[in-house]
Amino acid sequence: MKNSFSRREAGLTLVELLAAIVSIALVLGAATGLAMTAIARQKVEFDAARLETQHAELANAIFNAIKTSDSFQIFDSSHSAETSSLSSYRTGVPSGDYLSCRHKFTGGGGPGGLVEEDFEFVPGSADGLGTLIQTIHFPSTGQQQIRREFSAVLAAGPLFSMKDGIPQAHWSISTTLDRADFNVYAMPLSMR
Amino acid sequence: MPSTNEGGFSLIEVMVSVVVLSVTTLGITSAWKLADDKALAARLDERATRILAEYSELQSFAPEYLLGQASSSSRMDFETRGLPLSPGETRTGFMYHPRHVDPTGGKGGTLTFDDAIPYQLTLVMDGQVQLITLTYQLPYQPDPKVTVIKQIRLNLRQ
Repeated sequence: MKNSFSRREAGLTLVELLAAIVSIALVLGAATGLAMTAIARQKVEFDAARLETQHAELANAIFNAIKTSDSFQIFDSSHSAETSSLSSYRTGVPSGDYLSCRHKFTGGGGPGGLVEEDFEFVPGSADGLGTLIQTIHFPSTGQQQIRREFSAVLAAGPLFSMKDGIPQAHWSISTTLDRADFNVYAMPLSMR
Repeated sequence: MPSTNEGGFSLIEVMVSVVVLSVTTLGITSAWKLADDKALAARLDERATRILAEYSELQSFAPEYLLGQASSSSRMDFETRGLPLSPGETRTGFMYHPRHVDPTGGKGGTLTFDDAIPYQLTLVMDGQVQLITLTYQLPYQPDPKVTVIKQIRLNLRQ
């Protein structure tokens, strides 16, 4: 019979249990909030870094295309490039939103071929951000063209120019964090 | 006689738990800040490399008539865009353009950016090479700030 009527000897009261549950819920809620915020921040950083890396690749592609081209020409737009059916490129316009670079190659004593690498800036709509499109054509082999698009482009003026006699391209990108600037200068090996 | 230790926590227990929680929170936020700082440092390093690569092409292959057109005084980089550096010239610019945050909390101007983290670019003729030096400071370091120096050596133009 000893202690058989004591109600405080073991276990928790309902109030204590509820308080513990509420405390645990608060701690878990705060931890989840912290984790979600951390994930969101990492995603913002990751998206910014990925976009900048993609455009750095594009800058390298433009540099290499100009540098190794046999001939190149800047056009006002894709429309003027399409209407121009030149067998070889000429001086072109001093600045524009379309750059075309041609690479001739010979292989195995055959007639040789042509690879055309084009870059086109397509201005954006309301948000002011445009897209840079890289297209590689294989007119001599009829192989399917390769096309890549690079978004979030900010361009204050024509993207490609021949200012001071140097083929160059200037654009910026708007990432989730900041603005990154890209400047490409490339003197073609054929112009040396 | 009522027991003094019958229920609840003592002041010491509560204080210890508060200290433990504070240290944990501080550790988590410090880890976040460190991750952000390292990510920014990596992006700045990549941009510095890009700027030096641009100038590498200009210094080596820009047409002769452009040489010496740049002034010997310090100028902003965008003013002299496309011109090779002259010996002894210093150019300045910004490596980081964070999105502009309106202090009043306004939402307008989502595509406006600020200028942050200035850099300096200099060209020095060092014997038979052109030495281009790019200098900037990491913004999050406590004083004295850590200065990052990146250099590229180019052959003299023939």
